[in-house]
Amino acid sequence: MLKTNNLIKIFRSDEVETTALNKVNLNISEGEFVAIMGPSGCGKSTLLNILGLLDNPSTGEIYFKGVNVSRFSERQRTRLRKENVGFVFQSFNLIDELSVYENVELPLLYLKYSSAERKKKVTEVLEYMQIAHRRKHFPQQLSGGQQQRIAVARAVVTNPKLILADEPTGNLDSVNGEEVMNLLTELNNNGTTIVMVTHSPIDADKAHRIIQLFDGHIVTENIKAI
Amino acid sequence: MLKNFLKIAFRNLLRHKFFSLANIISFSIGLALLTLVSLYVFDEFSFDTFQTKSEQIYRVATVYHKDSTLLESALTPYPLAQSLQKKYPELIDNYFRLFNFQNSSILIKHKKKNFNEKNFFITDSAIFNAFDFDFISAPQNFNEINTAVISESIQKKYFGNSAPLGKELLIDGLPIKIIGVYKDLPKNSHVKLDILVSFSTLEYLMGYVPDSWMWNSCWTYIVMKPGKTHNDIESKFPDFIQNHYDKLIKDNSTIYLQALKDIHLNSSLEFEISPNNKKLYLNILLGISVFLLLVSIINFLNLRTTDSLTRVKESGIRKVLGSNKSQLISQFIIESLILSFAALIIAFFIVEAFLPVFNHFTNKQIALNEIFNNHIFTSLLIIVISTGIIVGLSSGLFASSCPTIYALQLKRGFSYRKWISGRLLILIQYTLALILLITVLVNFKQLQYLKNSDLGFEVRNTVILPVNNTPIAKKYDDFKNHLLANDRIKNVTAFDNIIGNRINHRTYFFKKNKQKRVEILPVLIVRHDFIKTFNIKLLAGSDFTKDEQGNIETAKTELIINETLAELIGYKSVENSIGQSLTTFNGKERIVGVIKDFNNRSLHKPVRPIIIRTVSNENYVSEYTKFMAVKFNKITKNDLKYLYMIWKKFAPDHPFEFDSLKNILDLQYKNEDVLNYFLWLFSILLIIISSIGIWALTSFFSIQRTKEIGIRKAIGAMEVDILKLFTKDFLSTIILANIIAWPITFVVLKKWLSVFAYSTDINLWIFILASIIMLFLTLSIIWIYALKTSSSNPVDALRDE
Repeated sequence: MLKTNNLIKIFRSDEVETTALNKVNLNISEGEFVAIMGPSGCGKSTLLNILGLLDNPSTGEIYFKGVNVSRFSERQRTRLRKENVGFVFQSFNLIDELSVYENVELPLLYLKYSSAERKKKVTEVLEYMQIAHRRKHFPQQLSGGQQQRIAVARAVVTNPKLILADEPTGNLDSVNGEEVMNLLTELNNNGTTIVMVTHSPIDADKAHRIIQLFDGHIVTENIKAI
Repeated sequence: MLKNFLKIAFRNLLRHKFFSLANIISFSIGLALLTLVSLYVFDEFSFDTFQTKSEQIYRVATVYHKDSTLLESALTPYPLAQSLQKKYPELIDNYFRLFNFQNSSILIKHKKKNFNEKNFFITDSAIFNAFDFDFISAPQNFNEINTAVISESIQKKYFGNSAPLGKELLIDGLPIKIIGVYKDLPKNSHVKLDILVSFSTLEYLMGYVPDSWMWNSCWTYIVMKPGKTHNDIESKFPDFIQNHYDKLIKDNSTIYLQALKDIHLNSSLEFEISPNNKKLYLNILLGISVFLLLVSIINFLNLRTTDSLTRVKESGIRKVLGSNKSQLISQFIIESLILSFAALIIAFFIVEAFLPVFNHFTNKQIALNEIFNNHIFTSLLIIVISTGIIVGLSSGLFASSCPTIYALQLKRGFSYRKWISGRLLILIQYTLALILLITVLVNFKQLQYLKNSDLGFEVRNTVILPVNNTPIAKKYDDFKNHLLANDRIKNVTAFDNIIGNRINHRTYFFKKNKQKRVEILPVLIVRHDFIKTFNIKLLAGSDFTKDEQGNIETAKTELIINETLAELIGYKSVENSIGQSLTTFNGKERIVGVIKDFNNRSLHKPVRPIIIRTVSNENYVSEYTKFMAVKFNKITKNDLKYLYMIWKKFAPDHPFEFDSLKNILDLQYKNEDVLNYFLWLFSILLIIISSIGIWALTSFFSIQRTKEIGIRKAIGAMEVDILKLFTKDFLSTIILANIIAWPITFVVLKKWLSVFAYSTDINLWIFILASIIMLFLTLSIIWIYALKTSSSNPVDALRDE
């Protein structure tokens, strides 16, 4: 599904050059659940962004379903992204001005689904997430757990092959956190590939494989028996 | 503390160079325009106010109104002034008249110098007591015949530096002794006085004291006794007219007084002493420039508020470090004040740079330092200071109102949707820009219509030569034949007044429905080939008949009338009018032709009846030959050289002057020209200011929504989706602005065009064009911004967590 080859990402400001990723080689198969761990600033989120086609590497290659996308333009990446990738963020990143329903509907709008199809899919996913009764509310009227469930709903509404989660439980209490993790596990069981950045060993435990990053390097890869 | 404030203020302004510059530019444009317009308007309003007795001096105007004939004239009969004073000595202190043979200029010679002078008047000595003359040498006895008092510039022109007193000028061939010199009168006088000749000279020339009450011949000014106004005397005028005016006209005549100060802006009579302006136009200009200033202040406010958004974090840190709200706000106020003063200084540079062009267009000599003479500077200071404070206060409040904790985390404690005032301001700005743009387009169309519409006679390729009092008037036929020898010249004619411009009136008697009627009718006295030269359509009858020698002027008096007059007299048809007679004081005159109506005055006013006639008395004919019209196929430089050559052959001592008929007629729309020039300037500047405003709001919008756009992009929004998002947000404002602007503009324009008797249509396409121009401009700005935002990496937007 995803393969990287000597991935390097360097951030430059006026005088300082920071190497966020240094020769990262990674191979993620379809249907896998991978957790990326490591201390703050080790490059976890940078890696996730590149894997999620939000960002380009400085050098090195990234293959998405066998296609080299490392030099894709923003427009090409967007096209690929909207059809294949769903995102879940630590801070939910819901749009405050849109209702629950509208937030979840948004990716479908960008995929040009018809209004009837959108309605069907959004209703389905909201019911699946058990949050259909909140469809007319606005994000700020909901609890953190509810907000993250909506964010997950938004990520999966298009049936993406890949879900990238950046510390999905980071802003949640343990009860809500567990609920979200259960959702992700269930999605994975249904065949969705999941790559998750996390600080929590408990959450990481749900993954098939744990990748430890340190200063932009992959230090260890723990493959768990499925 | 203040030093610290200033230091930080300058650093902030330099750090946000783009915003600072946009602020300064848009505000300075608003200020510059207001300054420029104020200078112009104050200059126009200052006309004649420099006269010490301006409150006491009035000009008498006459009105003759009968049925469809309305003649409002600035001219009065000779005996009027004297009779008024004799009758009301307790009210009228003094009077003076101005007389110039109703000629636009007069030939003045001294030794080898000869010029046609425009500002020549025969007048009464009382003028020197009424107006403020600053004498270099005061006249001793202005009542003597053949004496004149001249202005300093005329002295320099004819006598150089030598003393002119006692020397003579040849005025129209008559030697006149100079007995006084005065410093030139200020420019802002409704009448320019350069050469003043004693009234006794006129009586000497004519051989009698003119006493006709039928001939409106001179401008009459009266000086009221101190404390008396026009209200004290005007009620007595009806009686006065009944007792003095000729019985033929007294029932239809009225007179009234115009305050000296009101003449320049409130008088648009026939035979004005010089062209006046209209107060309405000045109010329009002033109104629009105040609007523009408001729009630029709105921008200032929007830009500063946008800028303050980027400084929410700074405010948060300051608050944590112990700064209180008032200190924060003071910082913003100081920055705004620095910006507004910078804008004022730049505004002065703009004004200084524009003044030469401006003076050229408005025919004035305004200097920037005049802002100190009439409170303009004080007003500007008040505007600049209060704007600086208000803008600083509101943007400071905006930045400091965000709760400290949110400010530090840069989380949104407020929403862009709550920023209704910003949107409202843009709505107002957009609406105004649209109104102005439509107005300017319609006004331009109207001006083109006025200048290019079919007047019923051919205007183009016609040269007008003033031949009054030249040998050419006496040797007219010979001169004409010389001209016609050139096959580039199609036709030649002459008249006593320029066609389509001004006209004299004459009393006619006729019978309508068996009732005897008297009418004072406009009469144009012409020479042969008039109809041919101007290609005027003959509806019935014929052109003037020639006698055996082909000499039109000796034929029995024949008239050609227009269809409006035929209708007024009540002839059944134009054909019916042929052969009918009209009676004058001098006998019967026969109608030989009826012509299609042509516009015999500016299009501000409708077509009126007109009589075209010739003069049968050979002794007088040259006196009525005041202007010649020479019609070419197409005028070239060589043609003018040819005219000059022939002119010099016939009148070597007379300066060769000419103008195209088109120019002369266009001059009637000088005020509209100036107004249109201003409107163009206004709309271009307003569009610039609005663009800056829209740019400010777009940038505000994108700063506010950076994160949202990042999220949208992460979940798959393409560039076009982001464009839609930006557009959608402005579209409602744009549509609303159109809904508001269209009907308002329509009503305003309808009213505006009613000033003219003939006006262009207000077409829908103008509204649509203006809307498209504005829409194109707005969308370009928005889209450039949206593209910039959407091409950025969504990671950058999401990173600030």
